Amino acid sequence: MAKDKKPKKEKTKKNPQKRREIRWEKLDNTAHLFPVIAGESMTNTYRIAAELTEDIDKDTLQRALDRVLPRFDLFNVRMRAGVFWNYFEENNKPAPKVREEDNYPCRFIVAHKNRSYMFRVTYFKKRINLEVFHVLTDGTGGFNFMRELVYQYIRLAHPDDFPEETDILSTETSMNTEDSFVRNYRQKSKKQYKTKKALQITGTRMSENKFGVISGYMDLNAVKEVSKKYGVSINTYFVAAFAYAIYMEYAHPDSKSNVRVAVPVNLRPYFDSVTTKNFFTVVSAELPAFEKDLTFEKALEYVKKSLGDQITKEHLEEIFSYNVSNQMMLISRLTPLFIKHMVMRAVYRQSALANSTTITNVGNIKLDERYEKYVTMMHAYLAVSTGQLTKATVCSYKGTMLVTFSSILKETAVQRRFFRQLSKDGIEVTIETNGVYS
Amino acid sequence: MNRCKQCNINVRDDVQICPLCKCALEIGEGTENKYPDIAAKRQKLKLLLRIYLFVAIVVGCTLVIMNILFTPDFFWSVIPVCALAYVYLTLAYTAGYDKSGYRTKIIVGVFAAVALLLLIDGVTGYKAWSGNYVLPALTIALDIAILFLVFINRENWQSYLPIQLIMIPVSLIPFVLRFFGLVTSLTVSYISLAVSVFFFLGTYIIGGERAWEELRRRFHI
Repeated sequence: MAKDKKPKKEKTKKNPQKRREIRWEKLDNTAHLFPVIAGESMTNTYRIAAELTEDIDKDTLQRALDRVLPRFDLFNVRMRAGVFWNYFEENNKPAPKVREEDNYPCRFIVAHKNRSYMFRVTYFKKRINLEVFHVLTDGTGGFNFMRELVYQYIRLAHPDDFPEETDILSTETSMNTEDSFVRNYRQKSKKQYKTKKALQITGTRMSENKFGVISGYMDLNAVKEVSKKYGVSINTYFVAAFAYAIYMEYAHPDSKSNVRVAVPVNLRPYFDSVTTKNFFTVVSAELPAFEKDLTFEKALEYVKKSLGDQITKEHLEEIFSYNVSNQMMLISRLTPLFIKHMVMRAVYRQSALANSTTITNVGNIKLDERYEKYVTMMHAYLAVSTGQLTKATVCSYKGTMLVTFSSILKETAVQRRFFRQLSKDGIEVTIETNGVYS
Repeated sequence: MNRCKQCNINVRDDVQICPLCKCALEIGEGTENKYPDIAAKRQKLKLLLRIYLFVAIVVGCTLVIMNILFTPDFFWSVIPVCALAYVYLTLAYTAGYDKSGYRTKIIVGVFAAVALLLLIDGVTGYKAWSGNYVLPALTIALDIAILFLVFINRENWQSYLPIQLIMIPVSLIPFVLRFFGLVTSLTVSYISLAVSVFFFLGTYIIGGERAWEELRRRFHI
């Protein structure tokens, strides 16, 4: 009997990805700064969290991340240092390990740890946390990734509810990674950001990298009604309430510095961009700290005027164009990275104290209605930074407004003043903390 | 839900004191802590480092005093004091400084060792052995270590090219020191320079397009 011929071994490529060119990308204009100034005390990390109706299963979350990450070029990278610029390079390591939350939020993301990824995924009870180093993207880009991660998790956790769907991306998800700063900047712009010192929120720092979180839940319609009563937008109302709280706690007639609240503005709607990279700039609302007996109504007027004057397409373009035009100059491009770092540190030191704090409004978060029933709340908050030891983030989801204060100060006077103002205006507030204040 | 009558707000945390005003809460039902209780992480390594620092200061001071008392003509205590300092700084940098990767740590550690040996050579009458032999020998060792890493981390071998490139000017240091009379023989330094150049060229030429791409990325403006 003739021997059966052994079937020829099929020649397969071990890993076709290894053979192709390594994908790499330049950092966007704002991202250049973050690796220079980031460290344990100023992490430049923000957290986006989704609270589900059920306890999170670690393995399912890991599987969801393993599936979603390869599709997001923006997140599937590590940062490398070049001779003239930092840049992102495709990260061919497996996805970072999902861990149960065991540290304070928004800790520093070290470039060569966490499998060299610039974000981490943790969970606790019913909450999935995504923490992102700002060098990767801003809140919009972070939500873009978080949404898919949550959808994928829900699909894996409830296969009976999603029998036909596997790894499809939702239609609202963007994969665009253009540098919209470079695309939209205008040459020859003057310096727009302020360097004059603002009134600082001071106090006793918490020990050992502790990080305090106080979130205030309120009914979205109640907030709408109150801001309508004052004749301002929700954003202006919260900025004014925060600025006024700082004024009431720290200002006095001899104050030489004003209360200045930085307000990041998402530039995408103004420039018709769908990029998932950073694309924001910062304007600031100002209250004169030396003015005696400033009322909340007067504070609202100040804030409304200063924000209204600044949030125009032309002005926003001027603000970021100055930075981009500096980046594009041949001399700065040819300056070695370590010298750039020294210059950026010096410039940052000058401007870091120009704001008392930052309040960012992420807006109303919408999820696909098929997944919405599994998600009870979405959260977002920022790490603190030099001179801004307390910051606030606003977002809303399914009719609930959430204002979250992050801080490294033991004192909660500003937060107290803020929530009491809301309560005085007739808004029912429920707070929760991460336990560091008790 | 707990309620603070002072602040006129509800408190969801399972606590008895208001986190905002520190007044007692009106206790209600349905409270929950949604964050983990972060126990202070024990930092054993940092404790060991602090113990080492204390012991090193005591030992160093004792040696300096003995030196002054018994052999004031020869300041030998500089050597053990610098060695103690070197060990401390190396440990503190490698264990405590998270921002640098292992590659930077290895290079910094090696060159701190070179500085220490130069100092020892200087204290013992400077016979130039540190510059003639130790510095180029350590440069060769570093070249070999990098090549070893290239093979270990095969998926990302190209990422070591910039360090290999940096090793070429590093191996030229003895030639610069020659001008200042700190190096008297360049035999080992020539070998060190050749090793650095050939290791870089070898990786670059054999690596082909991927090597070229790596350098293009690193030098992009």
